[in-house]
Amino acid sequence: MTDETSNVSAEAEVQEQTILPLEIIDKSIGQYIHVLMSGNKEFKGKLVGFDDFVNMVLEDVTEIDNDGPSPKQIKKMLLNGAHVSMIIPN
Amino acid sequence: SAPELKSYMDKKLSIQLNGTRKVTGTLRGYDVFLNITLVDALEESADGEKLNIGTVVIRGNSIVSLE
Repeated sequence: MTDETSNVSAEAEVQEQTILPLEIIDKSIGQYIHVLMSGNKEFKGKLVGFDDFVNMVLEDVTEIDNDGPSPKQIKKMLLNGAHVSMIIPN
Repeated sequence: SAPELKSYMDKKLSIQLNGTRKVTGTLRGYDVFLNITLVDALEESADGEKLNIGTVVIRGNSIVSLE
């Protein structure tokens, strides 16, 4: 019995020391972030919100295609989280 | 169930992402989907250039390997 409880509290302790990735995204709501996709695309914009799948609503977005064409400006968009590779808060 | 990354916590790791991306940084957190939080992260591009990107979240989906 005592072994079980000490196990649970040890695990809980480690989890508390972890910075959850979704926490970082949550803290960035309202700030500008840089999103790298799995292909050669990047999106820089203000994070309005996100969901469990890390689909994101972004505002004032610059869509950057790294294979040439000039950046595009997008007022408001829903970014599909399926191909998001990295999220960089500013 | 959570990935067994406890032994990697607070260690400097080299993350290989899909495509050609490679990021190094200190592991500060993770979740059940293998999304990770890295601090003091550096992105190494194909030509060897290193870009400091601070604290980042990497989607578990795009992680090929960690070392």
